[in-house]
Amino acid sequence: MAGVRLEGIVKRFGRTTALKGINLEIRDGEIMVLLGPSGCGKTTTLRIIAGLEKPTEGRVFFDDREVTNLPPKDRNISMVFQSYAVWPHMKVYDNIAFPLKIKKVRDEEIRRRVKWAAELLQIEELLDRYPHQLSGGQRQRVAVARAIVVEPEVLLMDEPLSNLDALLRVKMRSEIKKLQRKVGVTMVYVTHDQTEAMVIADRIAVMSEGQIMQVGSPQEVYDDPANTFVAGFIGSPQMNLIKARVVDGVIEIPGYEIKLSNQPSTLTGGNIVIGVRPEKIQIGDKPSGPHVEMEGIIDFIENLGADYIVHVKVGDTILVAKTTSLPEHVNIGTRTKIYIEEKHIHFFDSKTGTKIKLNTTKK
Amino acid sequence: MRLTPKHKAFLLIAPAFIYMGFFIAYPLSEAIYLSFFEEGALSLANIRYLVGSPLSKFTEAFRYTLTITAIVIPIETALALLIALFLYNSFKGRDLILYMVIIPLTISDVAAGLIWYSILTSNGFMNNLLISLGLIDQPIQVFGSEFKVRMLLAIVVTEVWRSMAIVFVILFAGLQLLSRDLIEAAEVFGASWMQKLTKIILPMLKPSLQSALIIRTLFAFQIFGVVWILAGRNIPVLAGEAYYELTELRHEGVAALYALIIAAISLSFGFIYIRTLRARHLEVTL
Ligand SMILES: Nc1ncnc2c1ncn2[C@@H]1O[C@H](COP(=O)(O)OP(=O)(O)OP(=O)(O)O)[C@@H](O)[C@H]1O
Ligand SMILES: [Mg+2]
Repeated sequence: MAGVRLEGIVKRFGRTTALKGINLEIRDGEIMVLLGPSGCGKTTTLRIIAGLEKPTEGRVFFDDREVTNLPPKDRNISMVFQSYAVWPHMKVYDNIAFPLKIKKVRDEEIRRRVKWAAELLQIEELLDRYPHQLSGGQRQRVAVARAIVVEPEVLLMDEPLSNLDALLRVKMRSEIKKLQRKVGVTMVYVTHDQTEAMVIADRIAVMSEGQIMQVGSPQEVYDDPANTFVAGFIGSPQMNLIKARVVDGVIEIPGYEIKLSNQPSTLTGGNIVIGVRPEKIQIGDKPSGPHVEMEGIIDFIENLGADYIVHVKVGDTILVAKTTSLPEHVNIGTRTKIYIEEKHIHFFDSKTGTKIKLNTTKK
Repeated sequence: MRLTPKHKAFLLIAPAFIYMGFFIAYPLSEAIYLSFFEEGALSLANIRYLVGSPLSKFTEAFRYTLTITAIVIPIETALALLIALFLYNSFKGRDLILYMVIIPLTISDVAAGLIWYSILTSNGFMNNLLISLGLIDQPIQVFGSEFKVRMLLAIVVTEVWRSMAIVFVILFAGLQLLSRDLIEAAEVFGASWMQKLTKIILPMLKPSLQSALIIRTLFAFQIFGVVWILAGRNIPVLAGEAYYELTELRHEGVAALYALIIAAISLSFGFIYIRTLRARHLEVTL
């Protein structure tokens, strides 16, 4: 097992810059999830760790050993490719057994481990088939099985569950996490599914346009997003991000004014963005701590079974709230009071999008 | 009258059948007739001539044709494969090398023979170069009836140079079709260069290898122009003998028999390739 350190990684492909200076420390034995929208450089980062791509600038370390110029075969890694890369000319069994055969594992041990991996991924009946006789999701599971039969120092997974049905995906992600806990391998896991990221990660690196926006535990990136990108990317429904102005201690959003009971001193004047998670907006129940109170009109209600997504029009702004229960009288068109605890309001610089640190004195 | 699907199917394949009937079945039956019949009666005279007559160089021609094929094809396949692998990754100057490798494709066999004849002849480029470098003081003789091995070597060099291009083009195209990920996956799981080649690339390249080998073997048994230019009848080959028997000796039946023998050999090799290089993973299972 080994920790992975990326130092100042820049990767250019001709004129496009895929990575613009990545610094990332992946601890020995943790699951680091790379999360970000399509094209942000997740696969490129993974390929650089694997050695399939040489960084234009920067260095890669496994523990204290520099591996920047080492070919993949000398890095003791294992990988699930986004495209699966299951070899078409080998039966499923031989695909999974290949890494073991290369490492000259005894036949008997190979059979045992292939069987184990196939069972874990529920593909035992497919061992005797060629990949073209499999569905996309089955092929993907073969790719995962092939990656986990060996015991690498670093296990790289590029959206390993993207093609599975929802049920299987939920099951597989906990299997992968359990497996990682058991063998303690360092794992870098790429996904653009934030729920998957939250569930599986020890820490998440949120990426955007070739840069890392924030690294932290799932709770940290959820509770304390470093900028509007992370705030908007993590959480569902998306965090409400509203353009606002601070004038004389009053926060003006289009068509409404909010008064804080406890004005942070760093919030001087000018344009900001305020952020509130839908699940932190309460309809009906008044919280006990310091809070703001607003009045609005119910614009729309989505019933998701367990939850309601409620759109409330406050002034000229629509706020999205998520609640498990609705007071009786509330309906579309109803005028209602909503409450937000002040500690759940995030402030961002409107130009840079970065979080404005609040140095409110703790009471 | 309405066409049933069955009729339609027959209509659709009819042109192919007519083509094959006219250009293959008819000439083939004519050749068989020419070879085995004399004045309407079955006759083995041509076979007897082939193996028994002092005029016939059949055994020698058969041996030389096989020898040239057996030397040229492995060499050019290996070379073409190496160059295709070398050119798989893009780098500066790749296109230039690509063009240079492909150029012989545009040159006819007679022209290729002439080019190499002028290079290898006693006052040709090779001897001039070696003499001016001081490596030899007498020109090396390559051609002439007493230098059979040297002529054979010259034929092999010319054939490899000329026909490697087609093997290369087929393998290179096949290689380009392989997804890069499939090869990278082998690297990730620790395969060495050799393991990558033998366990991943070659098996996936089987269909291309098969096409290249079939095409080349068929043409190799018809080798004629290059040999005729470089060695004349000093190195007899099957197609050359067919030509000689027909134009010089007016033995139409013998010439036809040669043609049949070439066809039979080609057919059996094609069959062997198809059996041994089957890409099982590409076959539809029902
Ligand atoms: N070989 C390449 N040549 C040129 N550009 C490339 C190459 N590989 C990646 N890129 C570019 O680099 C950027 C990052 O690509 P990357 O594949 O890392 O994205 P990703 O985060 O994995 O996206 P996705 O979620 O869609 O898989 C993209 O803009 C892509 O177009
Ligand atoms: Mg990707």
